[in-house]
Order: sequence, then C-alpha cells, then structure tokens
Amino acid sequence: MAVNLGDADADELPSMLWGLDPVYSAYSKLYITDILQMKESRQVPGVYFYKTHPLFQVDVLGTVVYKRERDDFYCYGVDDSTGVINCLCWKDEKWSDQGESSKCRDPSGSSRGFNIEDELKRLKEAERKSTMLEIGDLLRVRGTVKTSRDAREIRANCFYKVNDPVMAVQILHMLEMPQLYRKCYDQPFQMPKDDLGGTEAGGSSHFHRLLSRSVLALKEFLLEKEVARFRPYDVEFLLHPLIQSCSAEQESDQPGTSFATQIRKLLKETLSVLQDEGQIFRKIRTADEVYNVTEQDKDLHTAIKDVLREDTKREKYAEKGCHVLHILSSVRQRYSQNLSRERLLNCNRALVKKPSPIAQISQCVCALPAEWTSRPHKGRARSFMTRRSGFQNDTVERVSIRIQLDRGGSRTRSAFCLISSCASEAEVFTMQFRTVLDVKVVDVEKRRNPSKHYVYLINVTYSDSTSHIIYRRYSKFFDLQMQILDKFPIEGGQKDPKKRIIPFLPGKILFRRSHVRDVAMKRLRFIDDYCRALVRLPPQISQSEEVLRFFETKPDDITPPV
Amino acid sequence: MLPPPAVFHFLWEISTDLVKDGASVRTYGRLISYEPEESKAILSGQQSSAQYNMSVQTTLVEPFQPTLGAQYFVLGEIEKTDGLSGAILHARTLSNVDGVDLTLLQKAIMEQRCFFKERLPEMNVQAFNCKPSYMKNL
Repeated sequence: MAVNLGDADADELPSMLWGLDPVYSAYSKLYITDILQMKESRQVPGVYFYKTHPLFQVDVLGTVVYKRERDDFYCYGVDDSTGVINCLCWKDEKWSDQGESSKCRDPSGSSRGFNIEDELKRLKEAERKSTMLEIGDLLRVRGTVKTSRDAREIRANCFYKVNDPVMAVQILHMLEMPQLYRKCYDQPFQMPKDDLGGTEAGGSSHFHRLLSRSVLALKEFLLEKEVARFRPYDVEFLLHPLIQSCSAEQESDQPGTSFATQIRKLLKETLSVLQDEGQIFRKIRTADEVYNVTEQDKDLHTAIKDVLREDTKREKYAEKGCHVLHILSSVRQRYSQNLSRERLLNCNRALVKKPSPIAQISQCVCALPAEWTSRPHKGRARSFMTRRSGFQNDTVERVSIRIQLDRGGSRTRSAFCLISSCASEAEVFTMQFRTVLDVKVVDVEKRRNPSKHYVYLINVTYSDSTSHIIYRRYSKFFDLQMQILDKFPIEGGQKDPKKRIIPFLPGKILFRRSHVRDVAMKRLRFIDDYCRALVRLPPQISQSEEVLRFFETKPDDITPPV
Repeated sequence: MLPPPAVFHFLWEISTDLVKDGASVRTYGRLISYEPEESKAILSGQQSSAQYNMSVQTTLVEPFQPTLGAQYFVLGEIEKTDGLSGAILHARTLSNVDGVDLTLLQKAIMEQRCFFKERLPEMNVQAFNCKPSYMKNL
C-alpha cells in the first residue's frame, strides 16, 4: 500500500500548530451529528477534526433518551435532535456518603442564624441531585470525545441537569448554534500573522507541515517493510515527492537552496524526531550512520522479557507488576546504557501486541496512594482508582488482554494485574501466570505461625515444565472454592445441581478442634482428589485467575518458614 | 442500542409525507384531552388559523399530571395507520412546558432548519422559507 502523500495529509493541520487554534483549547459546542461524524486525526489518535479545526473537547445540551447506571458511573444517551451519543458520567465519591446526612437535618427549622454545616450538607445534596437524571430530562455535558469499540462517546468532565420549565434554554441553544458555526467552526483556520514578516511565520509553518508528513511517511514505510536497520540514504527517496510537490506549489522561500540541501535538512529533522519518539535509535555512534528500528530489535525484547520474568517472581512485584522506570534501569544494566524511556515504551507496546506472556496493566496520569489493597478486584479497583485520583474521568484505563503463551502449550487466557503508585505518566507490565499441568498432594506438615495449623504439600507441575512444592492450608482452599463458586455459578450447580462440574471440597469443621493432625491426614486424600479434578476442568475455570494464582509459587513456598 | 435522534417537527407537518412512518420526532402542542384508561392524549396546534390535532400514546410516560390547556413537549415515534385520520405518536418523553414562547420556539426551529439546509450543498432545494433572521454581518 503506497503512502499517499498527496491530499490526505495536506488537509490536516500539523500537530505542532494545534495549540494556535482557539477551538482546540475550548469545549466546542457542536451538533452531536458532527461529533459522531468527525474524523480522527492521523497524527495523534484521540484528537478529531471538524473541517480544519482540531478538537477533543465538546459541550452538548440535549434530552436524555437512554440511561444506564452502575455503582460508579452513569451512562446517559443524549439526543439533541441531530444525533444521539452516549455520555459517560462518573459519580463523585463524596456523594456516596450522603445517605444518612440528608435525614439528620434540623427538623424544627426554627434555628435562626446561618448554620454552615447544614448549608454545606444541603449544597452537597443539591449537587448530587443535579447529576441524577431520568429519561426526558435535559442534560448538559462538557467532556472529551472518545472512540471505544467503534462507537463515539463523551467522557464527561462536568455534567448537570438543566431546569428548563419553559424551554428557554433549549430555544437559546437552537438560536446560537448556527451563529457559532458560521463565525467559528465553519471558518477555516487562519495562521496568526507574524508582525515582523508574514513570510517567516508562513515559512516555518510550511516546514512543520512538511516535517509531519515526512515523519508519517517514514513511519509507515518502516512498519510496512518491517525494516530492522537502515542508513539515511536508504530512506531518502521517500522524501523526494514531498519536496517536489511543495516546490511546485510555491516559490522557494529561501532562495539559493538546492534540492539536495532541502532533502538533507528535512531528512535530518525527520530522523531526529523519530529518535526522540523512540521509534529508531543508533546502537553505536560511529561516523557510519546506522539506525535500528525499535520494534524489530530482538535483543531488547529478550532483555525486557528476562527482566520481567525474574522480577515478577519476587514478592515486591508479583502482584503489582513492574513500574516502567524499574524495567528501564534493569534493562539498561543488562542491555545498553543508551536506552531512552521512549524506546522502552515503544518496545513494550510492540510486545504487548504480539502473542507473548506480557500484558499491559494500566495507564494512569495521576498519583495513586501506595497502600493499594493486595486483593485486586476488577470493579472495585477501577472505582478505587478513579475516586482517589484527582481526575474523575477516564485517566485510568485498565487493559485486560487475551494472550498466548509462546512456549509450553498454546492455551489462551486473560490475565491482568493492578499497579500501585506512579508519579507521572506510567505504564506497568508484568508476566502472567503459567498454567498448571499436574497436581499431587503428597504430605501434611505442621506450622506454628500465626497459630497452629497444618499445611498440605502439593507438588505442582507447570506448563513451562518446571515443578515445585507449594504449601497450602485448608482455609486457603476454602477461600478458593468460595471464589470459584461465586464466579462460576452455573458450573457450581446453583441453577441446576445436575450441571455441577466443580468438585466438592471436604467440609469446614465448625464445632470441634480442627487443627489436629488426625483431621489433616483424613482430609489429605480428599484435598488431592479436589486438586486433580480442579485442574482437569475446562480452561475457563482451570485457567482462571483465581486458580492460577492459588497454585502459583509464593515467596513462602520458595523458602519455607522453619 | 441508542434510539435514533428525534428531529423537530411541527404538528401540522406530521400528518403530511414529510414525516415517515416510524420516524422519531420532537414536537409540542396544547393538551386538549386525556384518557388515562386508554393512555391516549390529544395535542393540538394552530397554524394559519387552522387547528391540527394529533393523538399521543402515553403508555411509556405514565403516570403524569395532566393539565388540560397547557403546552406539552413530547418526543417519540410516529406510527401512521392508513384509514384512521392522522398519525399516532408513541411518546418516550412528555414534559409540561407551559409558558413557553411559541413564536420564539418556532423561529428557533426554522433558523436551525435553515442552517442545516445551507450545510447540505446542492441537495434539497429549499422546502422551507430560508431567511435566517439572526444572521449578522460576519
């Protein structure tokens, strides 16, 4: 597929100049039909173009025609008579504790004077009420445009119910929108003129335009041809059509520059941009300029995988994953000091896309508390993160990816983990659990901490052909069973007992002493049967996160306590 | 999953061919009768000294406080039945907007329509009187 350097790129304003357009920084009041139809920018996904204006934030006013409520957010479908769009509106944490306070207001009302606590409570209550809407109410939403699963939606930064008893607000909205379009959105974006000389500003913006086109062209070429290494003169030919087409359009603004000089300058700038982005790099700084492409760098891939594999065995990283800066310093030690963070991120992203046991965990742009709970749970975690973060909307995205092992069996499974603190933009990665091939309970051992109990010695053989003895006590088995029965009610026989496939666990002892050797020995056989049956269940259960986590080695299994 | 957008129409346009069967519309009118047992309300509007009536199926928006003589704003789907006079609007939302400035509302709807017609180049030759009354010199 040849890169069309002609019109498609020329239409889009180069990303370096977007900040100059006031529409970009404002919440644009657009018709919903325009929001749904506008194109996503080729240069930066997440930014959209309405005619010549780049934008990503919008402001809509419309009737609620669809409502979906969850614990932590509302999803309202808004109709403004030109189109309908979903608006994701996160609930504010402080409203969730409004339940009792609204009832304990002063009933007498005879208290004179200004009781600030009461007034604050009433204010909070009013705020909360303004976010609870029903179908038919008028809603105003200001937020960012997102495309998720092929559907456009708005992630609200601010949303509230509009009281419009005589339709005055809607009428005003209908009257002002056409004016707004005529004055702003439909007007082509004009570059602000430089006072010193129009040509200077024009020249530099022209160069920027050229630069973004050449960066895009080079990126697509490297991707398409799967280039691993190249020299500058190998890719020079890609820039020829750009310079040729532009010199045909206008007289050269710098008299005396030859075609060759222009090409060289453009090439130098393009390569420097790509280096800064981490897409290409130079392994050895010699006179011979050889550039390597990050995505194809196998050594870097293996270095990253090794670091992750080793580190995620350690307790510090096992549940929470490895912060990207940690990976950066480890990989620098083994691979090359000359590794930029952008390059690492590029590589990680490429690894995550390919079938590999590495999964991306999360991406967040805020500071999270370090005391993150060690029992991750999807829904709770998400709401926890959004509540604690300064931002309410989607700065936290959790990615759960189905991956394939690259050795030892080709089972697919989904796996995810959660992160703890991150100072700034961060991405965290971890290795996933290996599957369990065989299980055998061989013995029972007495333990004294935290109190006297017995653990079962289980010999586990993993899919990477290693085996290990793990130590698990009965209560952990019980917890696991509860989790599985909760998660798989049908397979647990809740609907139809005949359909139960999940094995039975020997019962919990409630009324006599349970921490005696006799009990443990008697249970051993049943625990063994249970484990064997469990790993022979269909993969959605036998390779579920709970089961694999249970059978995965913990630090205490590697170095058992005395 | 999301319903289609409801376009603004006047009562007198609904019985004509401008509005297709099954289309989603927004409209408004004065409530002149309401039968709770059959969930049927009748809205009426006036244009060039002619009265236009339309029946509205209110199953989805009940219960509501009917105020006879008040202006109501309704959003829903049109069902055209051949034989019976007029169309039936199955209301999804119904709200009392008594006190609304009818002339202003009408102007606003026309203004918006004009603008949409302008945006579609060379397509529909104007069926409406396109005089944007609020257009200033740009």
